[in-house]
Amino acid sequence: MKRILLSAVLGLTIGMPALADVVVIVHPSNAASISEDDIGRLFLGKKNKFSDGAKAMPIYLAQGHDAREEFNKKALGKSSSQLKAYWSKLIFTGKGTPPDALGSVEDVIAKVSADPSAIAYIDAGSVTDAVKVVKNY
Amino acid sequence: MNKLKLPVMVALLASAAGSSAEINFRGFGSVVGGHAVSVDEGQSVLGYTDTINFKQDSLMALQMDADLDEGLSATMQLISRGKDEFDVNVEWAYLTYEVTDSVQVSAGRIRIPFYRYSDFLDVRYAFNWVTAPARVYSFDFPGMDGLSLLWNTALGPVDSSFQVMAGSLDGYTGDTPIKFDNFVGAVWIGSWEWLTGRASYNQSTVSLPLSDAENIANSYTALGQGMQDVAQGFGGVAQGFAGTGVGSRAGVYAAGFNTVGQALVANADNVRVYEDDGFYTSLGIGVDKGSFLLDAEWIYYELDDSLIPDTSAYYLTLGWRVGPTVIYGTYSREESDPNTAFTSPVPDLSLVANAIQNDAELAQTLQAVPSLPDDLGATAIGLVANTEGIRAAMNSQRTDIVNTHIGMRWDFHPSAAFKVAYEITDNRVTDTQGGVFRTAIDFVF
Repeated sequence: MKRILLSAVLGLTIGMPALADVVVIVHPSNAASISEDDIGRLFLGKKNKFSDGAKAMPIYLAQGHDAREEFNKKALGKSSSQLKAYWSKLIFTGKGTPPDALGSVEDVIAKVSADPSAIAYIDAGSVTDAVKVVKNY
Repeated sequence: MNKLKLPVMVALLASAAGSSAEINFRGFGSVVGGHAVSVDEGQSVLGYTDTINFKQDSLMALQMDADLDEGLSATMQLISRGKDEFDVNVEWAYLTYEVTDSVQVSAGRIRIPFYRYSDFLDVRYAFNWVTAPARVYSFDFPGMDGLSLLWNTALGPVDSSFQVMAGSLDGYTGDTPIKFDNFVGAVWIGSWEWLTGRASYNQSTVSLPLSDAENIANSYTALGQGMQDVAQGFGGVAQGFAGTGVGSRAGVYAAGFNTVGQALVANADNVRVYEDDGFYTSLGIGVDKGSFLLDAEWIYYELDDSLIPDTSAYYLTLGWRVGPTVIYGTYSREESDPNTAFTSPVPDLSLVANAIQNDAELAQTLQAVPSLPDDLGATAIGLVANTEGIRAAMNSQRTDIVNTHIGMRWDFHPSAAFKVAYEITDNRVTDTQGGVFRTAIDFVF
C-alpha cells in the first residue's frame, strides 16, 4: 500500500515539467526579514525599503531568461506581458519606473554582492557564496 | 497649438542631458485598421465608415524621462494621432519631485485621471480593448496644466494610491476649444491581491463653445428681443385703446410677451457652456483572478446652467485569460434625461398666442391704425411657435446609447499584442445601429 502511494507520488513528480527553482538573493550583510509579501511589493515598485528601514533596490533579469518568467509567475503572479502592461501604465502616467534589468546572472550576482541595498532573483543553480538567499520559489 | 512650446521642451530636456542626467526614451503605439459593418451609406460608427480606415485610431508616442538626481526628474510625452493628421501634441510635460519615499509632487502638463483609464487611454497595450469603452470614454481631453500630488502607501494588505490635482486646462477637444478653470480633483485606488477599487471626484469651471449651444443661445436672444418688441407693440395698443376691451386684452398680451421675452434673454447664457460649474465622478472595480477578469466602472457628470445634460454611463467587461490570449465581452451604456434647466424657466405663451389668433377685434384695430404694424399678431404667434419648437426639441433630447463589444487580445510578442474586436452601437433614441470591426497591434518600447 505504502509503496503504491509512494510510486504514485513519484510518478506525479516526474510527470510534472521540470521547472527550475528561482531564488531571491540579497547582499550577505542584509539581515532584514523579507516576506513573500515584501518581495511582491518591492518588485512591483509599491515599496522601496526593507523591513528594517534600509533602502531597497530591486533588480530584474533581462527578458529572455527563464528565471524571469518563473519569478514573474510565482512571485508576482503575472505573465511577462501582464508585467509589461502593469509597468506601462505607471511609466506613461508618471507614477513609477521599473527596476533596471541586467543582462546576465553573473552581472546580477556581481551587483548584489557589491550593493547592500540590492535584491534580485536568479535560478537556484547559479547561487554562489557571494550572495544570501532569502526565498526559494 | 503646442507646437511653439515643443522646441522649448526639447531644448530643456537636451540641456538636462548635457548636465550628465540620464535620459530614458520609451514609447508606445497602436496601428488600428477598421471599417464599419451594417451601416447606412454616409453614416459613421465610432469614426468609421464602410471603407477601411487605418487612421482613426492609430497613434504613436514617445516619452523622454530625464533623471536629474536628488529625487527630481523631467518627463515629456509626445503623441502623434492619425485622426489629427499625425500632428504631434505634447500630452505630458512635467517635473516630478520625490518628497519622500511615498509622496511625489509633479508640476506641469498632466493628463487628468477623470476615470479609471483616462490618463493612459492611449497606452492601449495596458488594457485588453482596442479602445476603452466609448460610452464612458467618449471624450478627448487635452492635458491639464497644474500640480499633482501622489501618495502611495500600504493600508495593511491593501496598496493605496491617493492623488490630488489642481490646475487649469486650455486646449481643444476635437475641433472645439475647451477650457477648465479652477480644476481640482482627487482619486483613490486601492488594490488587494486580485481586487482593485477606484473612486474619483473632479470639479471645475468649464467653457466649451459648442455650436449647438451657441445656436440655441442665439435663438433665445433673438426670440427674446422679438418678444419684447412685440410687447411694446401691444403696449401701444393698450395705451391707445385704454378702457376698451381690446385695449385691456392688448395689455395682457404685452405683459405676457414682456415676461417671456425677458426670460428668454436671461436664459440664453444658461444654454451656453461658458464658465459653468461642473463635476465628474466615478466608481470602478477590477477583478483579476488569473483566468477570470472583471472590469466595471460607473461615471456621472453634471454641468450646471448649460446645454450639456446630467449624464451617467457604465460598462461591464467579463474576460477569460487562456495563456497569452484574453477573450472578453463588454456592455456599456450612456444615458441622459432631457435637459430642461433652461426651457422650464420660460413660460409657455401658447394660450396667449391662441387668444391673439382668435382676437378678430385686435386684427381689425391693427389694420385700422396706420402707426401699428398689421402683422403684429402674426409675428407674436410665430415667436411663440419657434420658442415652443425649441422646448419640444429639447424635451425629446434624451440619450440612451448601448455599445456591445466582443474581442480578443493575443500577446504574440514580448512587447506587442494583437487585438480583434467587433463593436455594435445601438442608439435607442434615434433607433440607429451600426457595427465596427477593428484589428489592432499595440506595442510598447
